[in-house]
Amino acid sequence: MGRRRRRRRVDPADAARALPEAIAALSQTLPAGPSPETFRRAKFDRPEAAPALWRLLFRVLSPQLADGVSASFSPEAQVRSVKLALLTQGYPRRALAQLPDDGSQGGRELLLALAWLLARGPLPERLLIQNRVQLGDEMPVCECEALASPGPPAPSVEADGCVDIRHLQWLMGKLRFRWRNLMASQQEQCALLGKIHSYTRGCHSDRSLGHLSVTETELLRDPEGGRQLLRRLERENARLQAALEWRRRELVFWRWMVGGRGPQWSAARTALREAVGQDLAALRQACERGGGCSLAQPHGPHRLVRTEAGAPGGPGLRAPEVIEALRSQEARLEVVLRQLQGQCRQELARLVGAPPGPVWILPPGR
Amino acid sequence: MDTAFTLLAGSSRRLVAELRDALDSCAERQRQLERSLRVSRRLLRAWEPAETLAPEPTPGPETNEEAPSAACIPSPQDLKELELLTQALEKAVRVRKGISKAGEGNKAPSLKSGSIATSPATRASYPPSTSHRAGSRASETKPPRGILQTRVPTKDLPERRLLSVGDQACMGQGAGATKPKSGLRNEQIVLSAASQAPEAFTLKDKGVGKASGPAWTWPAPPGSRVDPKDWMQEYRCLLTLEELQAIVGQCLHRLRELCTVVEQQLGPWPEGRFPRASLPCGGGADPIWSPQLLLYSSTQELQTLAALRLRVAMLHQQIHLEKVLMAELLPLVSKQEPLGPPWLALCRAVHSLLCEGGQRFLTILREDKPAD
Repeated sequence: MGRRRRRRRVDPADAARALPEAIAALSQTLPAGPSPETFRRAKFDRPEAAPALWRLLFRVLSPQLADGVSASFSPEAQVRSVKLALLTQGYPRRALAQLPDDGSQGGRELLLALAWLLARGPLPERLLIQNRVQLGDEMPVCECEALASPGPPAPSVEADGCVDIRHLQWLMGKLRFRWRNLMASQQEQCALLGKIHSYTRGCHSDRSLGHLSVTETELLRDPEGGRQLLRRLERENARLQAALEWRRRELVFWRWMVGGRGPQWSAARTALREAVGQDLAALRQACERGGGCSLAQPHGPHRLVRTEAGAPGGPGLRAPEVIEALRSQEARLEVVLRQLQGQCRQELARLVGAPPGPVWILPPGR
Repeated sequence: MDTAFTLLAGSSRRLVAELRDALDSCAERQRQLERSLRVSRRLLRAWEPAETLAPEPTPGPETNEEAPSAACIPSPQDLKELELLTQALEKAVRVRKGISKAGEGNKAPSLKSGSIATSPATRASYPPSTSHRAGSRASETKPPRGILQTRVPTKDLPERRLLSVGDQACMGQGAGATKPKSGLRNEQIVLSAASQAPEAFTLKDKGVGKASGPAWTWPAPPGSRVDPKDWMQEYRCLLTLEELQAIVGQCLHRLRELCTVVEQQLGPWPEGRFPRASLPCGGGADPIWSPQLLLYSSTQELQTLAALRLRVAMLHQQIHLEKVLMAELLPLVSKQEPLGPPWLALCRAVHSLLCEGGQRFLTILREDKPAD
């Protein structure tokens, strides 16, 4: 390995530190990030690095899980979850799917998968946004987030052998019950929020908000809560700064990962092509669906602000507009569901056969 | 008879897994909602002690609320802590501004003087609970209206003072000294990081990239003349542009067709009368880091909105489950031996699941052969 002639402008010691510092920044901005030394070992496919990388990928691919919940997944469950999530996202390399479930091997493959994920889009920033500290009472006005993230496979999913169809009916009933509960709890929460917002009117120095949120009220009530919030903000600050560092330094990482290696470069290129294709297909679908661009439908989390009835209010979405948009969405979805059910009815009628077969009496109330 | 109800192992695994998945996501939402409910109920208890709210399963954290605070005026310690909190919140706003402006190479993120982050702490001369202490009057009127009256002029914020009623001597300029300094230093790091971002690493020019340090024996990639990261960015941009060009072309084509149709039927297209799309107008603010506002005017409105959102989510889930059930159950019905009683029972169950959402069942009448 001959040394290249270096210009003296850059101190060699700095150059040698650049890569581990870049990786350290990346690691700090990701949840459960391992040390740079672990990355190095993974590159050499050392077995001791594999578990840490499985854990990292699990946290990265299931960011919606709270810390406590993700800790309850066994290592095997985490491995299976990572494989499934990567498959869902279209990861092309089969070698990863063939790694053993006990998480003892595969550092090098996992490193490649991580690079693939990083290449597809702004992964650290997305994770930071998802887990950011929220000061206001926020409510998403669309269901895109919930739909986009497939939940991880439940840890104990094995249906032993065959299952009775009546068990399925029972599960459906249970699901209906849970939705009803959810609806009732949600209504109660809205009522409580409405009260808190109107009771704290005039307490916020930001006139466009006018009242406090739950977090802000708690902050004032409870010094311990304030301290905890402070700690969370400090942690988030540290991660944000690490994300900035990472963006400054990531070229070093990419040189190291990709530099000159043909197959890896083409894997990255394919990943990009797919990612772009998916984004634009989604955009196209959104444009065709409902006859308008997806921008016409409000998106994302919004901070709730209660205004006096009749007051014009400042910039922001108005609840009646969102309600309209949701109602039309609801109507569209109901049509789709009825169509599917109608299809099933016809199909079943066909299978049962024409008279003189048995007579079907449909249930009343439709 | 019961054998008709059993399913093949393959489809039963998938169906049960899908249903369990749906149940789990519902349960997760419920858990989050209950967490928020606990907090809200606890907060409201101070304002509405007479109302019987839902029973609280965990009485632990609430006892702190009931314990009377040490004094009606917050101690210097509390004020110092509030000041630290203000600074942390200010820093958070700055760092967030730094992130969103780093791409533009903006070297001077300005402190948003009216920012949300700084306001709660500055209002806290009197914690709301003191009004409750003030007497039973609190339960009759709406207490918080009277409390936090001090209006902090926002231009004072950069000086990091909390204005409390006549008690400025308590402001910790001495005790809090270390924190503000470190805050400033971090801010400078952030600023310098942001300002250096445009100057991308030019390691290729310097021939660096070989690991030469003793602790790091990374395999050295052979030198390449173009930064792979730049390549990827470029490539991505090119691909996106190509695809967007195609989409725009199609949209323009369609628009032209529509225009001709409209003009034929209704006359020329009216200028400037497009329906106002409900675009979230953040007024230039970055919608991701500082979330946009959703204004509602009554509790009823909020409840309707939330209920509709849940309904849309539920419909999405129902449609997905319907498709899965169709895919697994319809082949089952067609494969079975037709017309025996077990098969009819299966049909009835499948019909209920697929066509009535598992809620209703149909009745099947079968004509028995006459016994003679």
